[in-house]
Amino acid sequence: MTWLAVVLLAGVCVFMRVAVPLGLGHRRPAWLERALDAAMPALLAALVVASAVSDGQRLVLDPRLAGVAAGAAVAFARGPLLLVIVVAAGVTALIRAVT
Amino acid sequence: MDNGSVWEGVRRMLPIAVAGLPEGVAFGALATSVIGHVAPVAMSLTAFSGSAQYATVSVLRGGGTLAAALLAAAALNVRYLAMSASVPGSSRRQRAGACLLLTDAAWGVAQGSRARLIGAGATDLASWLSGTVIGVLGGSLLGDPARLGLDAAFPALFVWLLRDHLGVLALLGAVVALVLTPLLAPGLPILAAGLAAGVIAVRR
Repeated sequence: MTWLAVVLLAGVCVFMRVAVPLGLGHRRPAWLERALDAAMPALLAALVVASAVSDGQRLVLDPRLAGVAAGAAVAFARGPLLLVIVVAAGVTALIRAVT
Repeated sequence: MDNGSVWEGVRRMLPIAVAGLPEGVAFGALATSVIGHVAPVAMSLTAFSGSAQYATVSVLRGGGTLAAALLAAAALNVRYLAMSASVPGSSRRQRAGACLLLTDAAWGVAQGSRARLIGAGATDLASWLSGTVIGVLGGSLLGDPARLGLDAAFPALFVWLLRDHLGVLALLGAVVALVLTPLLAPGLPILAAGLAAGVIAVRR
């Protein structure tokens, strides 16, 4: 059962990653290029929502959000990625430590 | 092969990979109590998908059916169909090979460069896999990653990537994700956000 599960799970995860790259031809059609360009900001914003204010299917507000907001302030001041991450994690940890 | 380099992907991914290491440790520590020493590592290498692996391990512990776990895994990962479409390359095999390393963070870091995707994805995999091994061998020595605020690292990365793409489409994606998160299985709201923006762009 364990190894059956491992193999089937691998099958699902690999399929989702390679199906489109294997299926697409040499060049992407123009409409797909347009759709992908437009999808990028929407996907990034959705990833922020999924990782900053979600826990499974629940929306949650916790210190993580304050940390991400602090990180965002650094990001929009054109700060480097490493600093953004350190600030976000640091502020989150600090608030958890004092509450 | 494109305007990015593998090293650039590695460099950008490195802080995220370090912050994400305890996630792998936590998975390894939990999984080894259910499925032994080798299977968790094999799973992290071949599935490379945290939430999907948790779903599967919880089934093997006796909470639900395997079909339900696989369905959850499919829902979680179906967004990769959209993300993988943006990976460039003239040969199917090159594109598919790079996409084996696809994760949300690696896709974000890659920004349309296959070389950066390979560098970022390999770094992410190294972190996830070594974390799993540490967890299997040593249990959760690192304690709760949330105490260190490390759960804020991933959203911080996506905010940093988003700063040059702010606009109506980003707002649309955030709203779609917020509205759909309570309604759909995890993973699907992200895909829906991408599809909504894509459909609008094509129909215009």
